[in-house]
Amino acid sequence: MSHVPKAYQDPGTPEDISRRAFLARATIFTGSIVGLGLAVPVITSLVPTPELVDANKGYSPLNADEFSQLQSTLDKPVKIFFNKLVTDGYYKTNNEYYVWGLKLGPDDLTELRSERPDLFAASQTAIDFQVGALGFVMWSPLCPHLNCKYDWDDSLGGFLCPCHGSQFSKFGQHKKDSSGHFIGPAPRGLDPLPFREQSGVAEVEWVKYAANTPSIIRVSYW
Amino acid sequence: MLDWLESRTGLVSATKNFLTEDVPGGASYWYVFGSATLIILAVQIVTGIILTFYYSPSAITAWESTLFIYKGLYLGQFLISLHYWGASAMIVLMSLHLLQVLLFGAYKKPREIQWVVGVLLFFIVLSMGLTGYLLPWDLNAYFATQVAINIAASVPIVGPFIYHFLSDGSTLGTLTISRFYGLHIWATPALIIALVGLHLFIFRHNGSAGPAGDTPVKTYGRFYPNQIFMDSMSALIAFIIIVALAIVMPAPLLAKADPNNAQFIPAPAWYFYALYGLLRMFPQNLSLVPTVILPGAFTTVLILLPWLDRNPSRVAARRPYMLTLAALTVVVIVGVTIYSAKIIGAEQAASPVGQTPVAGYGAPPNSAEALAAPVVAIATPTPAAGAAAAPAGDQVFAQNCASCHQAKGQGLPGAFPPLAGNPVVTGDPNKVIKIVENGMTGQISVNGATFNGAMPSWKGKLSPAEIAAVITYIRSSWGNKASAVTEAQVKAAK
Repeated sequence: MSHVPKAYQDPGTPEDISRRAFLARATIFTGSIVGLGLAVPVITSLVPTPELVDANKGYSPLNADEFSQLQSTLDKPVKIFFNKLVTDGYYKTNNEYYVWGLKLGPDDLTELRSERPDLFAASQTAIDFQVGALGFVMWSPLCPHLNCKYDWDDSLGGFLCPCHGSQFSKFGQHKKDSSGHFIGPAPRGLDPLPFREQSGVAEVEWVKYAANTPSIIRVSYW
Repeated sequence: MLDWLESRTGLVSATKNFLTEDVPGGASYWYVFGSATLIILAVQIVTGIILTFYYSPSAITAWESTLFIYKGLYLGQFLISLHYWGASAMIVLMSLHLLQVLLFGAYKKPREIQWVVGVLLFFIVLSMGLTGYLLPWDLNAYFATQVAINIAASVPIVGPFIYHFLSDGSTLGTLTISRFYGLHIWATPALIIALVGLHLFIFRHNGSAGPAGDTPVKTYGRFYPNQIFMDSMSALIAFIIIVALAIVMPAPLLAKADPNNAQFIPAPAWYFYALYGLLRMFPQNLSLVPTVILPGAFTTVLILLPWLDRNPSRVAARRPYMLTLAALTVVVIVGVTIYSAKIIGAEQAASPVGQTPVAGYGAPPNSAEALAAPVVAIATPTPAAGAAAAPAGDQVFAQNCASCHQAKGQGLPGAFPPLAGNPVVTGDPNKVIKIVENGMTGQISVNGATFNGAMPSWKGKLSPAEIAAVITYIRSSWGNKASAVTEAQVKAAK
């Protein structure tokens, strides 16, 4: 721009120039204080609190009828529903979920250990409970690939995920085909949920595990 | 680097051009109010955007999500209080800006349109105070907005239309909240930003008005860095003040809006106290004077001021009538504001129902914590299939009971008995269930004191599970220690 406003035509004395340099820096400084004062609450408020992340921690009782049905079913897993009061931010709803329960027969625990050594390895930190301890395993109903809901397929004698075709044994092992390749893209076997018996009631904890990771990682609770 | 950017965008020279501006007569702290308003507007926009991340506009979530902002976020209470006090700061700074322009005669030719845009901005920002007031959906939000909407409805001819437009229906509810939300978050801010842009564009076109003199100034100061330094210092001071207020007196949130609460006395925001005071000064049959005629006349005069004030001089000494009139107006507005503050203070002291906040300034510490605790209450150890989740007793209490029995169950002398330390509450559960279900009228006596208030019947309004939860809550809070009440007991007590 060719037009220079009147006040800017004469640079003034060296003192003027030095003073203006100071004022310019002081302006940036004061501006930064306001910006920082605003940035701190804005950015901090965007970080979820631990209370929010763990809002849905805790055990929920399983449907008693379905659980007693599991107790008399040895050959295949049973879908068992449970209700959970879910905190969704400031909103609380009573939601229905399910797990796949498996009753372990006399030799099943040995078989589980041999099929799923990852669940019992000393390096396994995400599983801080004894899998199969009470004679039952509760599988999270979500495929460890991308959290689709898999289903039991009698003709396959195993679990089948409809999204990308991963197959799992009743012990949650990721199945291989005859040439030794894994069937479907799942990165690991099925994830067990914490299970306990409290005053005669069977309860599970609805843990959220990371999807699509080779090892089991706890994220939070659904 | 700057050359590279400049050759591709022209942003560097545009910025230089923007900052290079003459300030007639030199930089002055008299000129800081407009830019300080602009900075606080930016603060309002930033905090407002973050609040929309959490706020949810509906009658069942507005209050809950607001409480979540207070309790569920890091620095959430500070953030919402910054927005709350920022609104006040904007009104104060805009008023100072307007008075400075008035005092300096800066609205005169050729700046008439700039003045009109500024006055429009003033009223539009005031309307933001009105639309934002409803959003928390607490008792005060509900009843104060009801009053405001009814005043709008009293305008002749168009009143009913305005009423239906604002409330979007026959009553205040979810549609009103989302309508006010749309106005507060989208429509009005867009208008404000457009008009601020216009205001600044015209300002640059005319140049700074300079000192209040009639002869052209001979000296010029620099906008950058001299004036902008003063502007930023003033904005910093304004910001520090709202930060301090947000920390010391965080925005209060009362109990959730309850249309059945007949005792609650609402108060408008302090910047509407003057209007409120006018309303109280005139008899009912003249109510159009304070609600429509006087504010309308005031607005019209303010907008048309550059044409009504024909005196060409800008020197204060040569404008005695104009400045006397302006000073009188300020004195009247301040006087009526103080008068209203006294009336409102006295009336709320006489009927403090619902005035104890559940969060923010004046909230008892315990009520906040009780509500903050995440509610994972699976109370009944029944092994039955799909054990229904228990409603949260503390929330049922805060939403339905706290406005009369108060946040800490301390009751209200003469009207509503305390629940804390009340032997009936901790006594026979069936009796408590009957009182909650059927309500209670007539004089009663608790611990030697008498109470006359009426309690409504909650049967049908609260589910048996909610009644059980709230009774369990009042029997185990504020020092009370009595057994829990189950949903089955409530159902059986019929």
